[in-house]
Amino acid sequence: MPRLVSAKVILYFLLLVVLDGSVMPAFQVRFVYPSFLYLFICYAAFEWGASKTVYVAFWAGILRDLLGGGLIGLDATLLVALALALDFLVQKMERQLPWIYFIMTFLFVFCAGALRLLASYAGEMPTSSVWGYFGMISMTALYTCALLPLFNFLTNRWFGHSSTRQYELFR
Amino acid sequence: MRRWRTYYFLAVPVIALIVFFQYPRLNETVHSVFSTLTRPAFVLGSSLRDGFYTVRYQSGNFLDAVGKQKEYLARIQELEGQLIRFHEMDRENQRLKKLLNFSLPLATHTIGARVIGEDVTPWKKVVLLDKGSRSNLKKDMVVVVPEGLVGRILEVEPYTAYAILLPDPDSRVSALTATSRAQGIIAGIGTDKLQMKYLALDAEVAIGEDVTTSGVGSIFQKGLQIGKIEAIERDSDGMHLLALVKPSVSFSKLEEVLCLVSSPQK
Repeated sequence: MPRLVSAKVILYFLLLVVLDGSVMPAFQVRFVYPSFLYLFICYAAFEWGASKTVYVAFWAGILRDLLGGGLIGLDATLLVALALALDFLVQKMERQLPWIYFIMTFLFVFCAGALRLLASYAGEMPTSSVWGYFGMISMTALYTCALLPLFNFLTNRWFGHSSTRQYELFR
Repeated sequence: MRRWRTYYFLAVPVIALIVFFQYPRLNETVHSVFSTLTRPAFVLGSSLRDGFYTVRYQSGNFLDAVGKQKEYLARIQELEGQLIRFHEMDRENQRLKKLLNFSLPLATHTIGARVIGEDVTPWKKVVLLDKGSRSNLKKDMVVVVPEGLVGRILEVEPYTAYAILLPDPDSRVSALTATSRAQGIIAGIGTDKLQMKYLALDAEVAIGEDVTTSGVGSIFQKGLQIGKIEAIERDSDGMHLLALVKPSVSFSKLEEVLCLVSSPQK
């Protein structure tokens, strides 16, 4: 597990922001493309543990806010809150279940998108478009979680694989 | 204790949110600093993206073109014939306009910019351009491509600018149908289609009809191509018609745009 305030982590964040904002639109399918910043939060939750996940979620949120040109802190607040929930679930989850990491990632990205939508258009959401937006969010979540193995591989190569998470043996 | 510390950390983004909400100028300054500092990285990233676009779209186009070579050759000949006729018509048109003392509705100056970043929220359609106030870009400048209207400049930083595209749910443009001259409002819905709202119930709009900007009460000048009507239905309020418009610009593969510096005459 790397120190969070290190050139390696900062450079990785910058790489992910550029990938999310500039490169990934080339891989879009019907206006939907995956987000590596979401995957980084999930990776931190699965591999590094609560204290790191929250920091990663905070910085990922701030960077997403800066990338979008909107109000700074909105995505950061949502992602930190969701990261806490994700970390709680990761502590409790049955790791041997097949597809559990995909399901957790899908739920995380879906909840992040849904909360962002509610926060952006609370009270003034055009009802005719709501299902379309939720479809988009689901597709983004699906596309993003499909890239989880690739992202894990690349991130393990970047930081060197060293899982420090300790799971509960007795519940 | 360590566990609680992570919960306390939730307060940090909340405080940041409140501070930036209270001080929009500070919000703008931080955006400006961020976009200026990261501009080189985004320019590099957009070059990579252009490469992927080329591979993705051009290879498909090439294979398609090889398959349809004969058809294309016949079409080129037909279009060349049409072009000659159009040149003649254009010359005649110019002579008539001069005669009637009309001024041509063309922009006198434009600034070209590259799209170097996009908003990562799926339904938001805001892009980051590689030019800003140092290149004379200003807020609310109209953004176009040869195919038609793209959107307008939302925010300008010294070296970059944010542009809101037509499919963004917050985008609104007053529009006009080309043949039936029915007026409405073009609104984005976050997908690859646009909605033309508030069409009168008796408007005789037809599927396939062109939609252009009306120039009424907006920053968009008259006559910019927006798209074609694909479907028409009665609006949920029952008092208007609602048309689904296919934009003439392909927003999913936008690479370079033109910003109109001086507005043409309406």
